[in-house]
Amino acid sequence: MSYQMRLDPKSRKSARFISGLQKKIQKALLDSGKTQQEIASILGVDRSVVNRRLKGSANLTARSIAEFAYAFEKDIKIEFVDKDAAALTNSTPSCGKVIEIDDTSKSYARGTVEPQVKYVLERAGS
Amino acid sequence: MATLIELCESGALEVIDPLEANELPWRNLYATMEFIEWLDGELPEIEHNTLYSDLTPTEQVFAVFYEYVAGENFSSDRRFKKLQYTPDHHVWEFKTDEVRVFGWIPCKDAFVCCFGDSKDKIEVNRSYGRYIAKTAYVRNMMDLNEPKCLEDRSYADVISDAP
Repeated sequence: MSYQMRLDPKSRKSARFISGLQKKIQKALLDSGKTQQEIASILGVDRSVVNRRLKGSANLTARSIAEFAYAFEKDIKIEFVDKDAAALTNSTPSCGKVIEIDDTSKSYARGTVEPQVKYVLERAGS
Repeated sequence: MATLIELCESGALEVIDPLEANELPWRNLYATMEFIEWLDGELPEIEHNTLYSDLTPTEQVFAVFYEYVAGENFSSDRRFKKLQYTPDHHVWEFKTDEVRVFGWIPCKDAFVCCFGDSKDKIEVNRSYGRYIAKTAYVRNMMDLNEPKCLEDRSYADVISDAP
């Protein structure tokens, strides 16, 4: 058994999206090779404004994201896509498939599962 | 002395799972029972300042836990870092906009959450040193196999990223 935080699915979705968005902007800044001061000069704001937007998610608005894209000389693409378990970054494409393991090993340590057993990875991982 | 798995089986530790049902963990997140009580009881009560974050403190902690367990990269931000203290107690923290979580790294790609508190409260009370000492004490008292923690400082030594 494992512990799951008491958060409703809507909050989990929001948390993952907003946090991920913040990380993407920070990475784009690094990739741009520009400093916070340079970004601030391009946008005509104080460096502290840029720093606040990068550090905290509170100041992230559609406008501020667009302004970052302008400063990074990038375009932004936002898409709503269908949920697809196979497209998730760390989910195994073998989920749900039965894998048969050859009985090549004749002896195995006591306490391990017999190698001829058919595995469903989803169950094995849980 | 016991392994992490044995400590989980005995009820001394709990595994935190922030992933969805169809996702597999890249790293492992453990917690003491006291920390689980804090997650359920005190974390939701931390006063949320909308100037700091769009996310509530609970959502902030969930997000950083999710990114840790999913194997996302932490080297480009400072949300997971070793605390500088003399002498070095090898205590690390997760940082969110409003929350700090203290713990240690028992082995690569694993973290044991020990204490959590509001960032503002910690700064006002200057309680970083106290939390570092408390975390080291809990670790020392835990019946965990030696070495109980990694003493490395660099990210590459303590975490690997999912491809």
